[in-house]
Amino acid sequence: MGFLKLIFYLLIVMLFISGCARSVIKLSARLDEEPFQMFGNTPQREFFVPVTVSDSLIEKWENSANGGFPNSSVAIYDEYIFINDLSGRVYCYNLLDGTQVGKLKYKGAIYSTPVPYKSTLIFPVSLENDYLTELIYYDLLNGKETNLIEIPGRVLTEMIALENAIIFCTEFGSVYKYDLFGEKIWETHTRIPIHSSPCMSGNKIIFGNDKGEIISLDEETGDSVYVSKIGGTFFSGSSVSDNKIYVGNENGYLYALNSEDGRIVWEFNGGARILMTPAIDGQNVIFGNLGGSLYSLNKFNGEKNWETNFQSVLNSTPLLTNNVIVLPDVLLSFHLLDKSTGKILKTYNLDGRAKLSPVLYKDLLFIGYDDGLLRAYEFVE
Amino acid sequence: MQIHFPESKKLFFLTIILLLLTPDHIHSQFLYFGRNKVHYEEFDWKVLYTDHFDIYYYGEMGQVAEIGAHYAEEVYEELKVKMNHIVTRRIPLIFYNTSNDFQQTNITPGLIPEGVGGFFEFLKGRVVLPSTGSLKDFQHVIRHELVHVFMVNKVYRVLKDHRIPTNKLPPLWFVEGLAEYFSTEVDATAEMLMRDAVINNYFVGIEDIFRIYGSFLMYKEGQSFLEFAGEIYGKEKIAQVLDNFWMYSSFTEVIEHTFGKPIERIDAEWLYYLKQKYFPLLKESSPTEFSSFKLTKDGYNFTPVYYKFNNRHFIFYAANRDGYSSLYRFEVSPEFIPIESPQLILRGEQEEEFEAFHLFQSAIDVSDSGLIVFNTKKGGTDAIHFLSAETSELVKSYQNNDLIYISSPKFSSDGSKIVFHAVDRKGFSDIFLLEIKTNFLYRITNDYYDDKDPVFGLNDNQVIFTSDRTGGKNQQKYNLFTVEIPGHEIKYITYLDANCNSPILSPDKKKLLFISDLDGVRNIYEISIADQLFGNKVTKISNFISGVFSPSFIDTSKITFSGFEKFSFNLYLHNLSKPDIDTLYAFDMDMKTLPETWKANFISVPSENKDAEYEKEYALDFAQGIVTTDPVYGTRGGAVFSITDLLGDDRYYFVLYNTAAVQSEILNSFNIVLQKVNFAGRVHYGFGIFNMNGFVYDITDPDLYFYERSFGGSFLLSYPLSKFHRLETTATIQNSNKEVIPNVVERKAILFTNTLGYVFDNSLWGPTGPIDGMRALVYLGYTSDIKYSNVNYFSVIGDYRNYLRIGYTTLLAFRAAAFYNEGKEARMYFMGGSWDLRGWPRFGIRGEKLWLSSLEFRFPLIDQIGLRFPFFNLGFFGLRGALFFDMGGILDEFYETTFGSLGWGFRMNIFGVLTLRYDMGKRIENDFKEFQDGLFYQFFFGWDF
Repeated sequence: MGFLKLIFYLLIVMLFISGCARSVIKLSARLDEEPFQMFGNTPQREFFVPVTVSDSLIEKWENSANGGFPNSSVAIYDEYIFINDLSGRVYCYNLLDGTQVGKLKYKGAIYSTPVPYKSTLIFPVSLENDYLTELIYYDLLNGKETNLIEIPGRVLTEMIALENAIIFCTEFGSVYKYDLFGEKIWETHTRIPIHSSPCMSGNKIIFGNDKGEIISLDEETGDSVYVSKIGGTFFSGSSVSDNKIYVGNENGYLYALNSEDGRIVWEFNGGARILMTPAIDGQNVIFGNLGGSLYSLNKFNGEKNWETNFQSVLNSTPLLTNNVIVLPDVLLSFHLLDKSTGKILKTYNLDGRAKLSPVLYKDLLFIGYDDGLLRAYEFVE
Repeated sequence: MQIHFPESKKLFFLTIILLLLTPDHIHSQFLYFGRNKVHYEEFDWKVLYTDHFDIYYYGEMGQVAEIGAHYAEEVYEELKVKMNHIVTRRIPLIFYNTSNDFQQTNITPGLIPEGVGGFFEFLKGRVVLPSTGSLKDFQHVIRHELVHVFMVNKVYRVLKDHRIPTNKLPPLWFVEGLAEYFSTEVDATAEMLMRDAVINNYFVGIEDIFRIYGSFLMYKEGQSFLEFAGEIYGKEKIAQVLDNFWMYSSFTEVIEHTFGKPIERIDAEWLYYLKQKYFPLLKESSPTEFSSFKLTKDGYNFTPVYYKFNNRHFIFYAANRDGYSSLYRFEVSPEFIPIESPQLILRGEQEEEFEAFHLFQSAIDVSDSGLIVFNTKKGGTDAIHFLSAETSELVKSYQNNDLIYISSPKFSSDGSKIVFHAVDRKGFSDIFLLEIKTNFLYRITNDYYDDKDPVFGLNDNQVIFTSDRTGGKNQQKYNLFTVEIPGHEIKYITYLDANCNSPILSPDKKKLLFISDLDGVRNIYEISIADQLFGNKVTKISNFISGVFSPSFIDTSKITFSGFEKFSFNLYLHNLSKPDIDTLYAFDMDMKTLPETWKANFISVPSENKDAEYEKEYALDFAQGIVTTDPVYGTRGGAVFSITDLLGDDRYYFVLYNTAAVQSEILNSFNIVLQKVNFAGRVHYGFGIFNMNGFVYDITDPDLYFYERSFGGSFLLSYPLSKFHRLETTATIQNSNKEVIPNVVERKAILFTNTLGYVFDNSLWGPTGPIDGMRALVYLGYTSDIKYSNVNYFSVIGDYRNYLRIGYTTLLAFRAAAFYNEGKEARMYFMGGSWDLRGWPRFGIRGEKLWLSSLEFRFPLIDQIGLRFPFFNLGFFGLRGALFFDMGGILDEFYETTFGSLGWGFRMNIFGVLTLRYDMGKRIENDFKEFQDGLFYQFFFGWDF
């Protein structure tokens, strides 16, 4: 057998072995008191990190997933960073150097940021061809799946991670609460499709639906607290601050609603569809629309602080710091903006469309872009 | 005759030739038959760079290009919001100033029918479209094509994000429906078609939409479905269909998922929605044939005019009754009842003089002195023709190189002048006046507004026309205007929130009739004229369910027009004095303060981004690796590439393959063909080089099996005289060494081959092949060994085919062909098999001189078969039958025998791309003396001869 033939057969065998390799994530995490556990970090989904940063970044590492990313974000626990993709994969990388710790492979698409607990990773896999979601409970310590729960409908929105439970909505219009072992605590069926990521206000779960309603459920029981008809389908996720819900709709309106009864406190018309979940800090609510405009509004009265237009569609929630906004842009870049004026301080080019909502954790900024590339930057002076 | 591809390479080259020629060159050049895409113009391309587009335009159409660029950028901003998507690459937009110039594009190699408004080419993402003179239509087509660009790009991203193979798209009804839904409102044409389909029960739901696949109805049903879905389920659901595209392999399931209901239910709701909308029309409107008298029965009939001579009454009109658009007439009684069937008076679309009638866009007229005026495409531009109504003789033609597209010429009252609409080289659609005797041309309007449908007004110094120059709240609606000659002052006649067209004055000049879509579809309205002034009161005088086109007066109380009903355009007679429906109404227009005309927006770009010279950028069209295996020659492989420039003018073909059977032969067995073909000008030329080595099994060669080493070059030239006929010539020089015994050069030759050919083709095609017209060719060739005199022969090929239509789809097809080679080492021709002499072994009859003749009677069997499977539905169309009789013979040294066959078979078009044929019959053997025992059966994919 010639040498070239030998090499050829070896390559074939290696390809076969790698193709059949078991997907696994096996790790031992220490207790993390401040994990980045879900999209928006908190159940209120504020997307705000109270730090002051420079406008200079250096790239630390990059790694890739298999499929493209949705407009979700990474989750971080201890020294591990988790990311889902649309080809049914969950990847785990080392936070500091980006080396791959492991990956999980499923048939379907994972739209929600996986929720890591100390030794458990929970994520929903929306199946292709079947109108079902497989809710996966994965034991990180032993590297094996502990629970697979079939749920009717697909989960296309973000989960809420509570101390001892998770809450999520299906496209079907149902809302579920499961404990950390895969036991269902309650389920509620609204019968109206949901494409808007839920958030929490106190003990109330808040989400919008395709019918233009804002619905509030009791977190303990899943019972309806109120249904507030606003108008215009809600694809944007909602966020909460100071007892106000901030949410945008298909008609281009950003609403501030009273979280107690869902009544409109103020509204602002941005003129184009809003898909991103608004970001909130102490004074401002920041949101962008598909027309490419990014707005900063006074979160108490809805008055416009500034508007900056990009030749783009803005569909990923930006990250807010004390002084800077980190804005992902599908036109192959992300921007650092002066939070007080909206002026672009610096633009960093990417090789693909920025997709993930940026996350700042332990001085590292995580940016996800096409096709399934995750990059870590460090702020430098 | 020049480059011989031997049998051993046949499979390989067959693949390559198929790759090179389908569908690229099937239309014309360097092939047996086919109509020609004639490049009458040599375009001086320029480029305009905007934020997202590279806009290619030429000549004087800079203003229209800048307006189009502005539209494109506007649409880009709209679509990114609607689709939550951005196309990150620059999009090439190629503009032509008229449909006539657009038909010369090289971006798609095929012939472009007159009705095509533009296209998006998937391979390189190019958008190609003409300005028709109407900026509104231009905007619509830009929008329509950009929806395709965004949709295709978005679907690609969705699939790629999910790591699903990206080679699928939604079905055509959705693709085109979405493009219409996002690009225009439901206009009078869409409304007319949907009303007619629902009321006359030929509407089909999404489940059965395969039955109308590819038709205009399918486009409009797709749009209608999305209008319905957007209204009932929410507009956001439409874009969501694309987001959900990854979820199911079946698009029907994607629809069911997005709208949350089974497709049967959605279809039922859609039909209910349409019935709710349209059935009330039955109470307030009437079918055209109930309120008017129907004059014609078959075909698509337009633009009738009345003329009386020799005390006989005639209706003259343009129609497509048999696949060709032509002029017809029929006689009517004094009561206007047709008393004869339509008579063809001028056949169109079979020769250059009358290459195309703009049947849907134009109109004809007749003067008091009996001249019929009409326009056709003639070569690169349109021409106006004058025909005697009484003798049907062509009296005069007028053509102006600056007027590319012409429509609707109308006579003055004394018949000495005509006014007409034309689009010039700038892409401006304006009104012109021509003095018939002197050919003096006078331009009446000159701007970017779409001025059309002119008629002489209350006197011959006034012209009434329709224009989109309307300003104010009804901006860009087509209203009626007058213009005085000279003076050029333009005044509103109507100011309506509707599109008005086809104005006609009554013979007594007391009323002006026109067509308007004020109530959704085109109906007839009237304005009274008193004291040489047009009144402000508009009276609706018809309330047909569907549309009316091109009316003309017979006398003050009767008009004739073309009406659409039951998916057909027919001519009608309408009595104005007897309104038989009580839902007609009148209203007053507010004409007190009439707004200025609107102004178009031009793109604003830095000067360096304008008027840039086009520099050819080449990119790969296709690259295909091929491996072939056969039991004699083993496995061999190769590749074929094609690259073209962005405008498709230059094409390069590269073929590389190796025929080595063992390693030591590799270096000596490379076969290379490099070829360039240029399509930019009227003369298409090509040149190339080749080097071919290898063992050959060649049934057309007397030595049959040998080794041949050859290299050389070739030159091709094709000159289309018109769309229908062309001259071709080739020259090839080839160094050929032939070894019948290995390593012994049996024959050395430097072959020089010249060919000259003439090809004619005006055939009209049905689903399985030609159904009308004629095809003919003559090739002359001479091959000689210019160094050793080892080879020396001449060649003649003649092939004639005629298709004689007996009925609409029934015909007699006739073919006579002769193939003649004479001289030293003359090559052999062959026949036999389902291509030519059916029943005989494939390529089984060989000779240097052959003749062949076929007669075939083709008739329809079944027009449509629908198969319903549990998971999908399938439709087959155009099942045809045939009775055939073939005969042929070899004429080499002496005439041996005549071969023949006769039989029957059926043919079926498969997915619109090829024909499946199954023939059975009997050979006529023994010098035409007896039939074979039993029957032969032949199965074949290919078109009828």
